Amino acid sequence: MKSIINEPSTDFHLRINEESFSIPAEILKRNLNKLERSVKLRTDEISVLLNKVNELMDSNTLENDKSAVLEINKIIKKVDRLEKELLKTKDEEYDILMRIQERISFFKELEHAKSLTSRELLIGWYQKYTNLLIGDYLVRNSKSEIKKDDDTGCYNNDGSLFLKQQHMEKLLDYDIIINANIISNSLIKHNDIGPLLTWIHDNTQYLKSIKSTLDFDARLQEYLQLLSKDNYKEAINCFQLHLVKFISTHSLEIQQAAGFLLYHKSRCIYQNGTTNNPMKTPINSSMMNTEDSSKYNSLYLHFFNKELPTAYKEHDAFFTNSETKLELSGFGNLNKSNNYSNLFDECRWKKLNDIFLREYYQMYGISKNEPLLIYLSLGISSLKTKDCLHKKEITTSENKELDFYLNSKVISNKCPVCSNEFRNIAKEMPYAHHIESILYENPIMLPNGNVYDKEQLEKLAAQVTERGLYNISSEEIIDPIDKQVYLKSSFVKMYPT
Amino acid sequence: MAHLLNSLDSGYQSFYIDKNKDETWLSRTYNDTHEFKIQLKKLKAHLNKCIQDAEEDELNATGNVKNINNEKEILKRAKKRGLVISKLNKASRQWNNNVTKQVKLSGIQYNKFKNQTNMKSHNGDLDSVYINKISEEYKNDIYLAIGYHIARYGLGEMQTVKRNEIETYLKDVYGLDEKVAAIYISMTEKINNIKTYNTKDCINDYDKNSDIYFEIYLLDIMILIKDKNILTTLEYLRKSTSRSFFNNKSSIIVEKISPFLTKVMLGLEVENIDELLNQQVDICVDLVSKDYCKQNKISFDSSLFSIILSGIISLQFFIKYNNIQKALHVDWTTKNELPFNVKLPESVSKFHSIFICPVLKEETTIENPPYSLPCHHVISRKALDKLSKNGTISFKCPYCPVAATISKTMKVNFILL
Repeated sequence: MKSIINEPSTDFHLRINEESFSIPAEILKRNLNKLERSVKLRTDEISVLLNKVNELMDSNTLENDKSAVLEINKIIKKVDRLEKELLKTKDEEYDILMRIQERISFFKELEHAKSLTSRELLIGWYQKYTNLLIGDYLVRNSKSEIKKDDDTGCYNNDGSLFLKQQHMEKLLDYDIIINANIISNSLIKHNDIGPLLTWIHDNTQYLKSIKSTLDFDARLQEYLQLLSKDNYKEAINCFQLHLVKFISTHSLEIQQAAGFLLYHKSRCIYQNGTTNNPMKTPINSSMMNTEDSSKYNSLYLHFFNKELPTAYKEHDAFFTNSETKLELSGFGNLNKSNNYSNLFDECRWKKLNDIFLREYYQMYGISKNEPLLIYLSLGISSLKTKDCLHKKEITTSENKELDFYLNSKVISNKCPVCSNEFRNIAKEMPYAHHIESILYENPIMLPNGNVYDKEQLEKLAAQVTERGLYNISSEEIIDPIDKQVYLKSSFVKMYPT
Repeated sequence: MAHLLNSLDSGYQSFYIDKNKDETWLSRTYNDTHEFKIQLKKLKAHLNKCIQDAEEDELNATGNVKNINNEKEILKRAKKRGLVISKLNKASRQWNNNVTKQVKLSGIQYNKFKNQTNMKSHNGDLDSVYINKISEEYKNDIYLAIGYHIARYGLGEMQTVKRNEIETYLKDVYGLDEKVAAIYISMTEKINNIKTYNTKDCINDYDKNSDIYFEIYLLDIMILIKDKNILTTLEYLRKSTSRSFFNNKSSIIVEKISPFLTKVMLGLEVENIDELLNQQVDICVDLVSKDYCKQNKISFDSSLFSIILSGIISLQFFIKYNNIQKALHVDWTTKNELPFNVKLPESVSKFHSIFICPVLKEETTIENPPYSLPCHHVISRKALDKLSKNGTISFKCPYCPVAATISKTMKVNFILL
C-alpha cells in the first residue's frame, strides 16, 4: 500500500507499538497464572473433602450422613470462593480483551485511511495517535498527585484523566503505569517501602527468573530505614529474616549492613540515644561507659557469633581506631566510616526506585523512554533548518498599523521548532539534512537583496492596499521586512539551483 | 496488506470458543463452576431431605414394630441416597476435569497470542534511535506544548463546559496563558456551533463573497433539507439568493443545490443527507478553523502535532540509517546535522526557505549566507571565497559562462511568505 505523506506502513506502526498488545497479553498470562494456582489449590482441597464425604457416607449411619452434609457445605464454600475468583479473572479477561479489540480497531482505522488514500482521515488518525502519546507521557510524568476515584475505585492522574476525556482509555494500559507510579511515589516521596515489598512478593518468580537484585536491594533499604528510625529490634529481625539468605550473592553488602548496625548504634550510644542523625555527630570516645560496652559485646556476639576481640573491648582502641580495626575484622574496602554515610543517603531511594522501575517496565515490556519524547526528538531534528531559532531583524516604519499587520500577520513564522514551547529543546538538537533547496516558483530579488516569491509579493501589495494600510500602485510592491515600496520593474529574476 | 494486523485480528478472534457468543474458555469455566455450585446445593438439599425423613421415621417408629410401608420408604431412601453419592462424585469429577482442561486451554490460547504480539523487529525499535535525549528539565516546556495541543484540538471533548473552568484547567495543569487559552476556547465554541448546526452567528462573521460564507450557506440549506422543512428551505433560498450573490459560484450552486431543490420540490427524500451533512460540517469546520487561526496568528496545526508527525515519518529513516551504520561500522558524519534527508509533508514543514549551495552542497547559514552572482545564479559565501580565491581573482559561474568578481556579487536573503 502506498503511503500518502511518506508515512510508515500499518505493520511498521504495529511493530513499534508492540506494547499495545504484548502488555495486555502479559496481563492475561499473569492473571491466569494466579488463577491456575488457586484452581489447583481449591480442586485439591475439594478432592480431599469429597473423599471425606465418601468415607462418611460409606458407613451409612445417620450421624455420619449429617457430618457428610457439613462436609458438602465446606465444598460448596470452597466452590463459591473459586467462583468468585473466576468471576474476577473472567471480568478482568473481558476488560483486557476489550482493550485488545479496541486497539486492533484503532490500527484498522489507519489501514482504512491508507486504503482510501484519504489525507484527512490519515491526519485525523495521527492526531489520535498523538493524543495517545500525550496520554502516555502524562501518565508517566503527571504533575498532579494520583487521586482515587471513589465511584469506580480507579486511580487517576493527569494522564488517565486526559485519556478519558479523549475517550482513548482503552488504547493505553495506563493502570499498569499508575500502579508503578504509586509504588514509586511511596518510595521517593514518603520513603515507604511497603508497597514495593508487596509487589516483590507477588512477582518473586519473575524476579528470580531474571536474576534481579531488587529483592535484596529493597530488603537492605528496609533494614536501613529501620535503623535510621532506631528501631533495632525490627532491623535485626529484618536482617535475619530477609538479608542473611543473600549471603552467597551479596556477602560484602551484608557485612557492611551488619557493620553499619554496630557503627550506627555506637554513635547513638554515645549520644545517649538522643541523636537523630548520627552521621553528623563527631565521635567522643570519652563518653563510653562499661554498660554500653557490654551492649556492644552482645551485639557483636549476635552478629558474628563470637566474642568481641579483646582489642576491641578496650573502648578507646575500638573507637579511636575503629576504621583500621574494622578493616582487619573483615569489612574489606568498605572500612571507612565515610562509606557508611552513604547508606542513609536520600539517593538510595532514588536508586532503588530506578531499579524497581527498570524491572517493572521490563516485565511488561514497557519502553524505557517516553515515546512522545522520542518522536519529539526525531521530529525536531527532521524539521530544524539552519534558519530556525534566529531572531529576524525587523525594520520599523512610521506607519504603526502597517507595521503591526506586516510583522504579525505576514512575516511572523509559525514554525513549530521556533515556537516558544520548543525553541529551548530545539537548541540542543541537530539540524535536518537537506539535499535540495526548498524555495518558491518565481524567486525575484529586490534591490535590497531580499528574495521573495513574486506572486506572494504581488498578493501582499494588493492586501495592504485593500485594507487601506498603505496605497500601493499596481506597478509597485512592498517589502514586508524593510517596509519599503519598490517598483516591480526593479525585480531581478533569480536562478537559484 | 497489513499482514501483522490481520494475524493479530485472527489471533484475537480465537480467544472466543464460539465466535457469536463471546464465550472464552475462562467464561465457560466460570459458568461450569457456577452450575456445579448449584448442583452441589441441590444434592445437599436431597441428602438433607433423606436425613430429615430418616429422623422422622425414627421418631414415628414405635417400639420394634416396623410396617411394610415404612420399609419401602427406607429402600427408596437408600436408593435416593446412593444416587446422591454417585451424582456428587460424578459431578465433581466432571467439574474438576472441565475446569482443569479449560484453564489449560485458556493458557494455551494466551501463550499463542502472547507469541503473536512478538512483533518488534530485530532491526531496531524506538529506544534504539533515541540519541538526542530531551532532559527532564524541559518538562514545563513539554507541558506547555501539550497545553497548546489540547487547546487546539481537545477542548471539544472536554466535559466541563464553563469557559473559565477550562481556562483555569489549562493554566493550572499546563501553564497556558489565560489570554491565549481564551483564543482557543473561542475557536472551539465556533467549531462546536457548526457541529451542532448552530450557524446563525457564525455565518455573519464572514464576507458574503468568501468561500466560507458560501460553504456555511450550503450547510444551512442541507440542515433545512434534513428537517424536511420545504417551505422554510425555499424561503431561505429566496431571501438569501440575489443575482449578484454567488456570481462566480453559479456552477457549484447548480451542481450541489439543484439536486436537493428538485427532490425537495418533489417531496422526495435525499437519501444520503446525513453523510453529505457530515461532509459539509467537516468542510466548514476546516475552513472556519483555518481562517480563525490565520486571523488570530495561531498555527493551524499545533506545534506538538507537527513535530510528532514529522517524528513518526522520520522514524523509519532513523531506523534504516541505524542499521546501515551498524552493518558498516560507520559513525554519524556530523553530530550537528542528521546524516539523511527526510521528506515531510509541506503542511508541517514548510516554514523556512532552504537554500543548498550548489557548489558545497550545504545549506546556507547566517555565517555562510547565499550570494547572487552577476548572472543571478546563487552560491554560498564559502563557495564564493573558494572560487574567487578569497576575492583575488575573477571566476566563472559554476552554472553558466558568465564571469564574476567578488565586487559584483550581492548578499541575498531568501524569505518565505
